[in-house]
Amino acid sequence: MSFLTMARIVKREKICGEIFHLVLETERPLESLPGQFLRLSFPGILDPFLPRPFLIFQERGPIVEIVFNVRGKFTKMLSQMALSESLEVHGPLGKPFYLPPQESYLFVGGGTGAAFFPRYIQELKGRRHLFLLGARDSSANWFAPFFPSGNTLLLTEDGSSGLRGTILDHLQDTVNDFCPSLILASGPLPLLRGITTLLAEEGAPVWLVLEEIMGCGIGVCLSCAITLKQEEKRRKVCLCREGLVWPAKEVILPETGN
Amino acid sequence: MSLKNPVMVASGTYGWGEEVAELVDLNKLGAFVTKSVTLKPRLGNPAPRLFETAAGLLNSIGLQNEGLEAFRKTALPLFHSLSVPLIVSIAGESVEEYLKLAESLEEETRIDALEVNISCPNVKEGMLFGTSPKLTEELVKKLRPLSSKTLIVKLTPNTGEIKEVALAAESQGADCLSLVNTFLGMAIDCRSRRSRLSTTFGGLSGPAIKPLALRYVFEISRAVRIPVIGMGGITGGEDALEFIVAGASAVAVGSASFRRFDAPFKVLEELVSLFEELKIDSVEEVRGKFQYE
Repeated sequence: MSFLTMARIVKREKICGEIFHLVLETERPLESLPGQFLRLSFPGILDPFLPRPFLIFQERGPIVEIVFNVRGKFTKMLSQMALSESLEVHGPLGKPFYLPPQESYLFVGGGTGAAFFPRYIQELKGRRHLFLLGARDSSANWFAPFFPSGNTLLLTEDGSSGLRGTILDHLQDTVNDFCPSLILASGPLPLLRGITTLLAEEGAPVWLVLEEIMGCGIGVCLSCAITLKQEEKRRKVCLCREGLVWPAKEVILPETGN
Repeated sequence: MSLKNPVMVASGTYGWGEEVAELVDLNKLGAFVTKSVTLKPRLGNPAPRLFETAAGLLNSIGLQNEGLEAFRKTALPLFHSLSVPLIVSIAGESVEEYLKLAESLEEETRIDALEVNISCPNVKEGMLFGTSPKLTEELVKKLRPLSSKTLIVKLTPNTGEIKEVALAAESQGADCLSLVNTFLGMAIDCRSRRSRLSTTFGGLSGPAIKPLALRYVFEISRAVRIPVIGMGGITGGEDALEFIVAGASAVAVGSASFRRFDAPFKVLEELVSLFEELKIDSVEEVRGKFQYE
């Protein structure tokens, strides 16, 4: 069950370009489970009005960490906040996601989408796994220490660290070499669309961490409703309530959006 | 119908109750207003359905809901274990659909009132009734004899004849008016030159519309004798009192609940403190007591 609490900014770090890392100390620990998310808003400020959802990168006791891209007014303001300033936190939100039991996993993280994975590293012990992390620039490098070095492949579009190129350039080869029994991808919608198309014939199931514009976080505003192929004519599901992670074969990805 | 307090939720912002029942004590609300129920299930509009604008939001959900039968089977039972006054919002595409909805819900004794949504801007013909005094008059005239429940008509500001629509509803026996529904607006991505929503227009709500909503509540509450429920951008106790001073007998909190799910309760708490501070004993004491120069 979600609740509202206040948080103080204990660390704000510019990773590179427009990507920031924020460490918050909440008054009440969120005690979120893997796959859940939170919403942040600026107390007493009516513009921006709606809280924004963020993946939970790390959580320990009252400490919660997020990684975000500056995209609009809200994230611009968030990136300029000073230490000790307060934010309103709403969470934990969404259904937790547990890795379906498989022999091996390929995790694909595009940009800040990589922030979804660190909470699963613990439970991967003894199971074959590979992280394929791609970014435009050296932010991929920043993420590297959070991932097991022998099982992580870094890509940058500018070649500043790891292999040069995009995730889509290297994905098919990686899948062929690694032969995963499950693929889980997190990142911007165009990337998820690309992965879905590229791996349409792949034997291993592909799961996606989806994003959609959210209004309420609890399933009442119906903004983040997505369509499931099996139930196209029957119902839609709200990502905020029913979870962010869905099998690529089951969802109809939105045509627009980022 | 009487309310324990003047703060209710606006239709479409607290769902059918299930999602919020675990988070807040619904019995502390003045009344619960459901998301609009339609005769048949509706899947609503494609994504994107919401876009934030300056101090407000544009939505184009398109009345997504599981329809009347699902409402009766899955949503109503929850309210049998609650004591909060229940207002069911109904939306139809034709007079017949509204009549069927009212007829079918008449036997549900748990329901205290119907809010007739003739003002949804996001479905084809959703606003048709609400923009026309004549159609509103015909609809309410046929609905009134079918329902023994309190009949609330929710008005749209997207017409030049809102006062005439209000008077038409009153003349045919509406017990109360809700105003306002969202303002029709648009948002354009200047780079792609496309709408920010899947539809060209959406409904604007939130603090951005408060001054506009306040003016309608002020004007309409002076034009009719039936009570008015005021809404549009209320986020705190002072906003609520402004609507009451303008002429509202009760207020509804809408988009603010998307920001904080407990917003209606915060508004109520702040309104109570404000009454104490200003030594106001009842809503009636200040309702419509706007001071002209």
